[in-house]
Amino acid sequence: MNLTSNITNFYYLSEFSENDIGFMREMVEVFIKETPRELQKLQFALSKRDWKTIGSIAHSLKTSVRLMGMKDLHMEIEELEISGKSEKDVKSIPERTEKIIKICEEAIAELKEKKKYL
Amino acid sequence: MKSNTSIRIFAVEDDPVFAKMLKYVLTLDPEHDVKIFSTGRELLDNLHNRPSLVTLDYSLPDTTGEDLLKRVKFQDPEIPVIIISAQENVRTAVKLLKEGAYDYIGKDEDIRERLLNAINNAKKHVSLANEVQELREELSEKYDFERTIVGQSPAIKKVFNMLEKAVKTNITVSVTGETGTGKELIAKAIHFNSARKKAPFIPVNIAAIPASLLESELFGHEKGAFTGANARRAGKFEESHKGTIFLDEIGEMDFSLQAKLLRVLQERELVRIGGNEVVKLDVRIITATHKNLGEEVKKGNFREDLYYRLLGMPIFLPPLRERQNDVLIISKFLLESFCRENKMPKITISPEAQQKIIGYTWPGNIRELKAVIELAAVMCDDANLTPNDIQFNNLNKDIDLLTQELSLREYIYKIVKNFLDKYDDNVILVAEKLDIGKSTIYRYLKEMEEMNIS
Repeated sequence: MNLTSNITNFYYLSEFSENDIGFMREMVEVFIKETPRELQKLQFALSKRDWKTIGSIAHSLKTSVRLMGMKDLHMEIEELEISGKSEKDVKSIPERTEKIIKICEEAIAELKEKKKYL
Repeated sequence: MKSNTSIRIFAVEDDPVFAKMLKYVLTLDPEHDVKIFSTGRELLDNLHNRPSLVTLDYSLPDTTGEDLLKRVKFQDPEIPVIIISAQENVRTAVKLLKEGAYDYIGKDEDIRERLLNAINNAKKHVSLANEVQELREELSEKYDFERTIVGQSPAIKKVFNMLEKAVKTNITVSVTGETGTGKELIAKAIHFNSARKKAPFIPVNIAAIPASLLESELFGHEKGAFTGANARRAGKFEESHKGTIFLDEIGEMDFSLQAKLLRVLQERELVRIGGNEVVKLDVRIITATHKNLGEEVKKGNFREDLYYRLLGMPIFLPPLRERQNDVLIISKFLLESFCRENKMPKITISPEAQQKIIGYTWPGNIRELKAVIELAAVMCDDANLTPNDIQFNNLNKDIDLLTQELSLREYIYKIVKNFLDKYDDNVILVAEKLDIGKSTIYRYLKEMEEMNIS
């Protein structure tokens, strides 16, 4: 499997840790373990149309997403954070949130696969 | 904390993924002992463990990084705090730095380098701060009463009692005593044992500064106040704010300046030369003089009102010759300190040398004793000082002569003999120098012979 393909990549983690595989594996494990809970919270806030909470969850999610090499998604989450926190342009929030949750779920599945090769 | 011991770092980060990464970076240096907390509350609960350094995530679930920074700084203003934020915002950064944050870093690609840099700088800062703290402690230890005032004579015990009282308040202290009795040492001992010890101790020797410069030296001046005043300058009084100013040889101050000093002491504020701004002062004053200020007041050389204002608690330092066996105790103390400082083996003082030390009147007091003992330590051939090693300073012979309390006739004999020695027994020349007749000199010589005085 090509480790740099698909949604996630380990460029950043590898550069950051000077290719410390043990560290990279740990980071991936934490991401796989912690992210579903964040996504659930996001889904719940969306059902209640609680834009501010969505903004703050987006804030904490964006750093980890970036660590897993998802630059485009990072920018998407940043926009969600801004519109959620400011409660402006709320029309775009539901669709964007759904999209982010979907990509993150795919990323988790992908990372579970990639982890085996670390 | 020293650089060779472990450095405790507390980090607050609620995002578990980033927390993991933070821990990884921070533990790259095996010296670091890192603890990660996910809330601000946890950090505050653990702050009593005294971390050397704290990093804070700017957005936290229970508080903001800004609020947490304030609380940390409130509990311990010395801890460097590095703020890590997912959003780099210059305005926020400036605000946090103003609040006392040590650094502000964004969670971006180069975080590893930036964080390590910030931590290395903060570590230097911490080690410098600790060094200052250690030096401060060393200084107060140096001026610990037990080490400063050596002796067991009643005269010195009285001084010791006075000092213990002086340090508890801000009372003005006036130290008097002959030259070399340790007036400045006493002033430092008071300062470094008082509540003001963290603030500066500023000594000013009034006799050493030309009268024309003294005013600006003490009270400062504004730019352009006089020719050569190129910039504003704070005076010694301002420098010693919250601390202690030591005015040595206060008896030498010009009468006209005494009036200004009096006003500053009364109002506890000053105006720099050529300025209008009133500067408030919180300064403890210790003065010293070898003169009898009371006598100077009577002679009209010193203002009476200033005299009473400065008198405060008078501490008289007795001359060494009135301190009985203290001279031996101090000699041994000085000898030990000198040997230790110069990494020399221990030296003892032979009974004969002790007799020589006790027999001398020490007109230069402890300063002279220190010089004589140190020279003796260097000159002595083995680990025991002999009388030959103890050499008195010729300069003080005259003063020594006066402190011997002889009869006038005995003094005359000494003077005549001294002159005859100096001028190779040339009686005519000596008679001329002393403005007495030749026959008088012969008579004295005869009397001396009869009384067997050599």
